[in-house]
Amino acid sequence: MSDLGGEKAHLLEVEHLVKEFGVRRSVAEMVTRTKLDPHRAVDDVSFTLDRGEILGIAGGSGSGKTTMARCLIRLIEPDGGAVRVDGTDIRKHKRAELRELRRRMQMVFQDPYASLNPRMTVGAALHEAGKVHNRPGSEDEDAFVSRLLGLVQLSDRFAPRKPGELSGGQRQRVSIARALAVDPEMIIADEAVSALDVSVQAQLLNLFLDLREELGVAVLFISHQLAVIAEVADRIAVMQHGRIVEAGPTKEVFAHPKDEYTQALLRAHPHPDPRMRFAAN
Amino acid sequence: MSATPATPIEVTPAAARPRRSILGRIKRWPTSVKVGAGIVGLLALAALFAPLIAPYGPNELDPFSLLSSPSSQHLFGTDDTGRDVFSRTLYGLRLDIGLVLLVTYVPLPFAVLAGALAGYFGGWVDMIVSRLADIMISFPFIVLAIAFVAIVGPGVEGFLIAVPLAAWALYARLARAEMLVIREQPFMMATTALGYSKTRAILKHGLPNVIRPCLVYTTIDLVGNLILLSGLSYLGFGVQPPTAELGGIIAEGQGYLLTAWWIATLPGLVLVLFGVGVGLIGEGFSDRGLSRGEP
Amino acid sequence: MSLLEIEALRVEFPGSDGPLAAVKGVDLALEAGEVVGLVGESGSGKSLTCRAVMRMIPEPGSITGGSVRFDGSDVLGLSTAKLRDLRAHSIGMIYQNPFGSLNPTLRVGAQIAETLKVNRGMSKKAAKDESLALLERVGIEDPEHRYRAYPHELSGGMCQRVMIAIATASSPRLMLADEPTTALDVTTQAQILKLLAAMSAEEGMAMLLVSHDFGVIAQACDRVAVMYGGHIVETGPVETIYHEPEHPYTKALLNSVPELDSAGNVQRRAALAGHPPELSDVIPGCVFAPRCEHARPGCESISMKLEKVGPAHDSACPVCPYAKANSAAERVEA
Repeated sequence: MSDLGGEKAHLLEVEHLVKEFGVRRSVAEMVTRTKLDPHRAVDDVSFTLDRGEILGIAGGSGSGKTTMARCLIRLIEPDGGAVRVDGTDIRKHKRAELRELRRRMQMVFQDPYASLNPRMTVGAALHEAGKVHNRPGSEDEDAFVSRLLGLVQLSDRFAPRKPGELSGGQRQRVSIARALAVDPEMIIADEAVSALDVSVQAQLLNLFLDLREELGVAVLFISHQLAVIAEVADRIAVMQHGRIVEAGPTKEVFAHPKDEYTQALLRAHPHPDPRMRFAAN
Repeated sequence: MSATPATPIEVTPAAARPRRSILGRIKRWPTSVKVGAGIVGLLALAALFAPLIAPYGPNELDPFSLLSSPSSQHLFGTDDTGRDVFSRTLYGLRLDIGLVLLVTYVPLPFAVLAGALAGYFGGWVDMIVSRLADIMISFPFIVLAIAFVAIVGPGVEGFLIAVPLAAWALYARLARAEMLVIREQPFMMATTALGYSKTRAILKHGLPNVIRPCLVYTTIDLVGNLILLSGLSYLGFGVQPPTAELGGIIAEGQGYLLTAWWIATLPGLVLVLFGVGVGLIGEGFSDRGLSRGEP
Repeated sequence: MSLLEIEALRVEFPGSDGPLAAVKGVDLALEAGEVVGLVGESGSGKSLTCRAVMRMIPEPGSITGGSVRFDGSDVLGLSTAKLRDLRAHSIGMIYQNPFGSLNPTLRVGAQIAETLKVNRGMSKKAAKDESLALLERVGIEDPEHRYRAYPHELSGGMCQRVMIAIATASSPRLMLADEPTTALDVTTQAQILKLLAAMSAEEGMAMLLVSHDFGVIAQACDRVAVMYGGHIVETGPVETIYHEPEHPYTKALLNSVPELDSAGNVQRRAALAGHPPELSDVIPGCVFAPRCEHARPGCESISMKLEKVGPAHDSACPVCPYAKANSAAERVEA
């Protein structure tokens, strides 16, 4: 269903995405050959993301948000549905076309300590990304790396360092720089700030906003923390048990949550103002 | 609204401290590694320069000093045909270290690659590699070595074939296990997300991280192979006399243990010393977690 | 006399160039029945301070200075037997990782019963009955059934409740909670916090709650101590700390806390530059000075002593840049 002329296609359009995992069977179930439905980690998920937009995906553990994110770039192969980048379904492509589509959607992971190859210097990792995709400017390694480090507000002195010498926040910046090295149109931030100290988290949230403003990069911001999503996302989709239970502009969803789960999440949010304690019972 | 901050984040003073110098890195090695490296280094140098250091040739006869005890003339004494035991030890060490390095490190890249591929791809690649490895490991190593020697005949060839044939399986398994862990790390997933080819992911990103524990294991393996080679030579299956080889010298000196103890004992001590040195290195590195690349 | 008195506590780890101090002279007091929060980021020393109370500093660290007094008696000088007694009956502890803190090979009921048998000398039957009662007390439904469950069969929240049951089995007078809800879903977190607050109120149990999340602290605590770089930089009633912080770090920390109210109004916050100091960083004078926008020339020579700035409100910052009227809820526009 590609758009014909006129209206621009969404940058990302996800339709009826499904991912099933085999069920773990107990011995009794195996012996009696009980028929069990496979577990749907992603159960008919649909949403869109436009250029320059920041969409928050909220949900607890088991909501399927990380599995869904991995399905988008085919780190895990989805079992059903379509993932369209500018109208082209990424599920239908291999090799060169797949690589090009992947280039446009980059991912930043949660764990700053495992997201970078410990044996590669920062500069080498950034340059490699640009070289593999033949990005313009990647012939001049120093300039290329310098520009990328600048985008994430790190000085050039970080280029010869290895990840082990960097702090958690600095490593996440390098991960983001590596994602930017291939000129993506969209970044999927999978709990990208969850493992960081609060003060560092605030810096990284600012960075995402800066990147959106300077480069027009769209962000799919996945987090289990509603307040973090509130700080960056224009729209939000709440996931539970593999489904999107509510979606809309962030302010609207927080002010008038329609779904029970969303309401429970909002009620449970620990407000930092002691005057707003959980009502006793 | 606020503009992007003008000053970029600078490298902290701690990170700016120069850690690049080799000397600095060596200073931070744990004591056990330093001691071990010292011992091994000394012995290796002595072995390398054996032709220059050894006062006599390995088979040079001194008919006036048969079975003489250690003296300033003959540091380790002489054997029953008047050969200087010290010189023989040096030449023997040279041969032993050379052979053992060959047999431990030459097959290593192939074994590690096989294991890494098995770990990365799973499926039938894993099945083939793992089943082959299982078969090799299920043979008792010594039996395998002796069987080969029986087929190929006495001499060093048997050793050179048997050891890699059996040892590759251990390294392949080790590499496979490491790869299974590394494969799940976000930085490996990032290589897929970044559109890197699988070849690049495995060779450039996976292997360098997989190989460290394997290298640590080679230190244990080195000693084992050295003992094996000496053992085979001692039994008459490995290096043939009159070529100087530590195990062979010990075998020749066995009959004189009570009368000319130095022939068997002193070369034996050198063998033990080498083993201790290598062991200290391996243990020191793996204790400190350097097998996983932590500083 | 306070229930718990920590004075000039110092915890150090061996380093390549000499010992590294993770807790650098902490003073803290807890009254009976009080819930005190210890909030800070990585490297602040909050977790170690908490563990020092029961002398459970992980190797190779050690307590190298100061004193810890519980109910008047010196904890640091106790014999092994008396220390065990203290841990068994007077002080309880719950940890961050609910699964890792329970023995995966034993059923949970058995683990609760074990502490009852060993620490309260109960018979097998009495222990089982009491365990069931405890399971119910911590809000686990169908306790008969859950009694026989293994930890991996329970959710994180339920395991945490089991841990609370074990820790409170001997009715300790003080509970140490080291990031008890960090690994839990937000809805489960809310339930656990409510449970802890209820138990504290009902049993008159004092609690030292360690967290990096100010929201958690705000929900459960009467008083707060803010830690940074191994020092306590500010203490006070939780409302005062939130609405009228006096220490620049506290203010910056509160400014960094993300808020639901930002929804629909997405914009950059004035964020604190840099990152919390590493253990090996040696910062003369005020540990926060390098990142502080109010730093003055004298700041590299001050001691980090807490000085009174209001009723029950202490701060380690002699500069005191904020008038009392400043509300911390106001977002700082850069």
